[in-house]
Amino acid sequence: MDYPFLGFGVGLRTKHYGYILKHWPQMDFFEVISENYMVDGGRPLHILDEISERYPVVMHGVSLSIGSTDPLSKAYLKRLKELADRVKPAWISDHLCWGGVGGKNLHDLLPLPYTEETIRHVIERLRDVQDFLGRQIVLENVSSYISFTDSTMTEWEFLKTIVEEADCKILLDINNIYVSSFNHSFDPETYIDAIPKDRVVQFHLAGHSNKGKYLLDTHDHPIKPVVWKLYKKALERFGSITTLIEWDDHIPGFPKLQEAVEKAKNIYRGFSAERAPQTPKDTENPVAVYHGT
Amino acid sequence: MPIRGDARLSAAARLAIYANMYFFRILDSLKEDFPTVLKTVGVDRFHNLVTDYLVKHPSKYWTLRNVGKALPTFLKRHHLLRTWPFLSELAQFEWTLLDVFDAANVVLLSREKLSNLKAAQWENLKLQVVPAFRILKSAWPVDQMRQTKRKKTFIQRTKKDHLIVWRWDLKVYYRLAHSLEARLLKKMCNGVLFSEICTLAAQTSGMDQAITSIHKLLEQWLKEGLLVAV
Repeated sequence: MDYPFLGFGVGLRTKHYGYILKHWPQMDFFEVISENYMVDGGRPLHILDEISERYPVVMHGVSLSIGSTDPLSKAYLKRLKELADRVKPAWISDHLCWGGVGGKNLHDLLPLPYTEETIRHVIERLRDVQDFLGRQIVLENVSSYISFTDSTMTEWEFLKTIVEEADCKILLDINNIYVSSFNHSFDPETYIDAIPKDRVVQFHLAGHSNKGKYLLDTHDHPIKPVVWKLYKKALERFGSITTLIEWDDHIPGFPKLQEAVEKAKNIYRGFSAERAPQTPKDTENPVAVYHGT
Repeated sequence: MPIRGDARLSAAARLAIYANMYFFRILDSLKEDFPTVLKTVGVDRFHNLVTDYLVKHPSKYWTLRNVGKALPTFLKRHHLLRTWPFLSELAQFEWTLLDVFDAANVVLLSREKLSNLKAAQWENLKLQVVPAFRILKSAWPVDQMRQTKRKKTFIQRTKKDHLIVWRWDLKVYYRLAHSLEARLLKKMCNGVLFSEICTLAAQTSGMDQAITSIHKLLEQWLKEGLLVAV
């Protein structure tokens, strides 16, 4: 499977439907929450059809619950595959987490115990999912507030082993790394340094809230300077990686999101200039050659 | 499996972060799905209602869209019904608006297609309402409650009215339907021959009146995007 550098995008949110359909703004790609469009018909799918005709799209799920001990939902996977057949996304991602158990759904992304037993369990399920979908899955690291006393390794060791053995790719959420590093007192740069370079295909950048004793991954604020700093560090390690600005609550107008996208692009431009001084500058599209497609 | 706590946050405090997020995520979602129920009972009572509801109906769905599915039925036995006897019907109406919003798309039956039918073809014409169609019976003017911006008193109707809800061209519509129309539309939910529709109408109002009624209704249903041919 190919993972092209799509550039810089934002999550498609209902609030922006009107703006997008009216202005067709410049945006390299959109990320859609898969479950919001796993419906029979109506406006959501109509909008998605319009968007996917004009922009590259990636699908991002929140309910795969790959770490749960409940059986994988065949109904869910069937819907997911139908949506992928319709949208033809560049890739499909979800989270390395569990979201429910005993038939109940918590609508959250809960961390797993980092053990050998969990690794075997998740790998087996990932293989089933990838076989069913007929494609690789991209896994995102979650932000977390709890850890388990039974864990025998770090989160990054856990993530690395799973993606390598199940042959998945990684959506590296830079903000999640920072939030978890604060909540569990580890060095976020150590995390980034431990992730295999050839596995990362996408970054997420988002805002979080400081609750004093912990950070909460709220996606309702501008991206914090410390996360931008970590983004630079990630660019240095992983190079040109498709980057998405996430904003899920108190969502601002679309132009404000475009500002955040521009900021990410500017940081990337600086990184590119430092890395490839011998490359002739494209003054029309200085970010990268991906604009030429 | 034991959760690790530390000097900064105990294990219980860490787990409580998730417990709170579970509740407030669903609360926010249900506020969006049932805005008139929320407006009627107010923020605090709605909060308590959702607490009661989740104890009985924890989410079994992979999408938040379906979490409120059982709220109308749950409200039938909830104490809030004593103050607002219409609350369950109102919740059912709001749930139905959501339910048709993303129901399946179909190609509508067109006036042209009907015009081109030969006389003999009418006998075998099978009509069905669109998948994004629901019919409700309500003793309260829940449709008016939804439209009213300010709080006002509503009177219970002497008998239950039929309220039809459907989606046409991506928009959700609703209106009252008289009893004959409601009976015919109900019949058409699973697909029915045009001849059976005529027979049913004739049994209710006599042949002459039935012809006029069916003609008018067909015109209206076509105009409102309610029919498919199967």
